[in-house]
Amino acid sequence: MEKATRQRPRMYGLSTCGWCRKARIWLEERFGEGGFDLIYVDLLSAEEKAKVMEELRKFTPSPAFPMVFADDECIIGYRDDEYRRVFEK
Amino acid sequence: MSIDPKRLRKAYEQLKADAEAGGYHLNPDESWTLGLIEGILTNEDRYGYGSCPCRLATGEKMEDLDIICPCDYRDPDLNDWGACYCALYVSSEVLAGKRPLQSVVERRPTTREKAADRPLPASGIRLWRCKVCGYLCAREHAPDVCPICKAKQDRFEAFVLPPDALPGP
Repeated sequence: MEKATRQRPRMYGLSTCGWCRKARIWLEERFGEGGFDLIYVDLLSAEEKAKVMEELRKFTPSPAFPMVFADDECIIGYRDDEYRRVFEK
Repeated sequence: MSIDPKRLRKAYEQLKADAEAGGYHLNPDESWTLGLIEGILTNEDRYGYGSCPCRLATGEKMEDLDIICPCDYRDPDLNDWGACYCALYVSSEVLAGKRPLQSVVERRPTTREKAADRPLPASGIRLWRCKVCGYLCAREHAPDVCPICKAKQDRFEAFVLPPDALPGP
């Protein structure tokens, strides 16, 4: 399969969340373990968390997880149809 | 995240029994449901309260009261989407396979009105409302535990019915 995105895919999630687990598994199947960046926001220090959330608020006023980044696109919530669209072209 | 399997199983059985007794249903996909309950227990250990596993908690209980599982948004989400935000709880229709499971759009407001900001009228009939399931009771104090959905006392909100709201004798 062709490389679908210029940049390394990146996912922001919560380590406790079922939808984030599904998204992680989808990305692992597509890119392999370690083939994408995975940030569990709930496991960050308070300082890092505030920084990341500020960053994510640039894309949406109320960030929800998982948030998957494919180049300039941001997919909020588990959406395998959207993952297929951006990662399997 | 690692929760003792015995503790997890016990929490699952308890939650399932409470759900069914109150007319609610856990997601029949057991591995999904166990994964979420593991998340709730992890949050319980981490923050001191069983916050929603699919939402980012602040660590401040008063800020997160509305998202302690079962959250204030479960019932409207069950009505509109057939599942709660995490799909831990599902509606009878979804359970029976008459409605597909779909992902839920977040309805939690970004800024929340705090109950304390809202003054209560001085006279009238004081009522307590369970913010989780809507159970109402007229008594001096909110019950320790909601008799319907088992939510704790801090999930109740007070409101006052004007004296003329009910038909007279």
